[in-house]
Amino acid sequence: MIAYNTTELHHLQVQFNVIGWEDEGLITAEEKRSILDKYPVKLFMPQFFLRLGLGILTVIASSAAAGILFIANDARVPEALFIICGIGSIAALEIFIKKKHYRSGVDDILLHQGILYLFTGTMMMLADDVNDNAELLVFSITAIILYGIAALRYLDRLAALFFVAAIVVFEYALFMNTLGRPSVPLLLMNASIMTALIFLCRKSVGKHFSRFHSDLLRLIELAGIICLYMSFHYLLVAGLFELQPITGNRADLAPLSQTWFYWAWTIIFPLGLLWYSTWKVNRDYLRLSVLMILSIFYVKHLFYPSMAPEWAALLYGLLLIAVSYFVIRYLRKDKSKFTYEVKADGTGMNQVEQLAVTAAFSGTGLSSSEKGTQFHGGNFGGGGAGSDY
Amino acid sequence: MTPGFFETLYRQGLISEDSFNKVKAAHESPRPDLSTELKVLLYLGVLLSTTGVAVLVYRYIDLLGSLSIALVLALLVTVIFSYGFLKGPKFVRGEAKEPSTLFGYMILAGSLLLLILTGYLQTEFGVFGNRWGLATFVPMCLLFFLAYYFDHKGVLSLAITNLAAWIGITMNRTNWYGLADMNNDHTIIAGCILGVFLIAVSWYCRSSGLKPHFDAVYHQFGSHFLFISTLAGMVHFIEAYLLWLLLLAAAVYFHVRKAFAEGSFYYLLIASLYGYLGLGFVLSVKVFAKASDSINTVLYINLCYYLATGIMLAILLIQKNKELVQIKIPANDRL
Repeated sequence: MIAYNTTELHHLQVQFNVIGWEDEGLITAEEKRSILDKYPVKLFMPQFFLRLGLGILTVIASSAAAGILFIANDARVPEALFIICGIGSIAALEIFIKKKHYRSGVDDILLHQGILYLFTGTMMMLADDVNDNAELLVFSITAIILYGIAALRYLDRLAALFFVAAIVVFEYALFMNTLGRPSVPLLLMNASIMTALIFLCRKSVGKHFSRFHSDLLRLIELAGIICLYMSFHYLLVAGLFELQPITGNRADLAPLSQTWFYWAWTIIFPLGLLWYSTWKVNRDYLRLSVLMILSIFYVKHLFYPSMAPEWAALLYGLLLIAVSYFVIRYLRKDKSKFTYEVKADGTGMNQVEQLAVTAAFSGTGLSSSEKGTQFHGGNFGGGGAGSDY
Repeated sequence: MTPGFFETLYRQGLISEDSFNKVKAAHESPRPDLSTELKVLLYLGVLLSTTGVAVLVYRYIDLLGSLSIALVLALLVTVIFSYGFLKGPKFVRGEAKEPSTLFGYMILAGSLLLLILTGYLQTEFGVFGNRWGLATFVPMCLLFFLAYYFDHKGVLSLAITNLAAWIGITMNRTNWYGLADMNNDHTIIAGCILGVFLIAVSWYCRSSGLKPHFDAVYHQFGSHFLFISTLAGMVHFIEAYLLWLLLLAAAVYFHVRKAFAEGSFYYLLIASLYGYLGLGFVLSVKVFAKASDSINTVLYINLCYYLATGIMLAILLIQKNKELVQIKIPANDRL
């Protein structure tokens, strides 16, 4: 089932763990060296920048190849040509895997471009035969099959995420095809399917049959938790129901009942997840719960704005700084199940800090020579307010 | 990895009993490090609060009065930097050690507030009159001073962004290449000169020993300014495209040399991709387009060129990466 050499994958897992152990000071450098020699990896796994470069060049080359095929055929039967391009991409992918490529940028792009071509070809074939809702249903089923196979055979993490997204789209399309509009059972169905998916993933992780899919299963589990949370999240429910006109008349909107439940879910679920993550010392759950808690403030401000946005930004910003500061202090006392240890080599945010600062604050900066740039415009070079004043 | 596997390693004699016990204990009761998550939250907090302040000062001008807002901002900036100067590390030519995690974020917040204050003073009181350049130049100088004094790469990035703004370049994240107005003579030439200047500053940083770790920040900005400007110049000054192509070739040559001197694949990659883009443009527009009257033939030639060169460049990059790996450079000197 797995396209890659499983012995190589096993050795890779060993190497990955061993390097981590040495970083944490659990084993010595000599022990690491002897394990790495015992479990050699011959896969071609380039560093990030080479992977990026190879990915860009693969897009250029494979698109050019597809273009040649289309021109040679005068694009007479585009759907068939897309299918041929898709099969060609997957065939090329298999060849590169035989040449030991693993997450090299080439295999990543060939897989997703191949799926995209197959998708386009399939949808073009069906475009004239079915209505929009049925088309969405076929689209989601095709996506589930293609991304499911991609995740299983090629261990692709992006494909695993698209697989979960395709399931959600499938549920929506199913309701649109039968009832014509989303309703509460859709939310219940989504919550049930996501719960089942989460439990299935949790049960499968650590088992022998899923040893090479454990990363993917964890990713699907996390995506499932997000989808489960969103099932009854007030923002989504309000958007889905209150904006759906029953009779086609915009004034005649379906009233949203049981709002207390949706609000309670929106608030309690992340808190419960936060408690669970600290209890089970699960860093991924902790990250998710913090993101969900941050979203509560945003949703609250969106529906019940008790203060102006700028006040909300200032207060929530100060609150974030204060909370982070006290958590750091607490973790440094070394009493927690978690730690706060800044690596001496400046990993994490330090390395990308200048990029993050530039990305966040440069967008509003206008040059002094630019026509019409006035300070009343509120755009001040390099550190602008971020406002439209 | 299962606990059984640790035992296998132990039985194979690959790890000692002490290491085996440590690995087992870490597996049974892991203590994840939350430093990255907390830094992201701190950064988000600084971003939100300074944005909030920036909007508030303009919104409450009528209510609070210009002077009181300016005074509050000045007070905040003074408090932050007074604390910074008192509690922060003394200036050193090399890399300084941060006294605390929060310190760097406080300096970043202070620098952003300083920019807001300068902008506000010019808006409301016109302290720089009509000399808009001066209104960008003064905060830029202050930011450079703060970046060097407090050894802060984030503030240095703000200072470089201000330097670009001062000479008339707008950095804009809405474009994929990050620069606005690249169809303007002035912006292209200014971007090119700024790129060369920043690369020269980066070289000076390293050779003089004055904050040598800042060289990567200067070089990154400089390289992208230079490459994007030369590419834009090639398109904009189409009659003089050869001159810009030569300039691009010189920049590519310089970066390839640097990549091999420092064992940095990053510089090799950006030089290759920008160079490939520039050469591809010239060949497509000036050579292939004139090769035939038939659009299909021209398209064929272009597609075959990109298919062949895309594959060739990929193979070349793989080979060069192998060569670069052989070059032993201290980890800190690599990007």
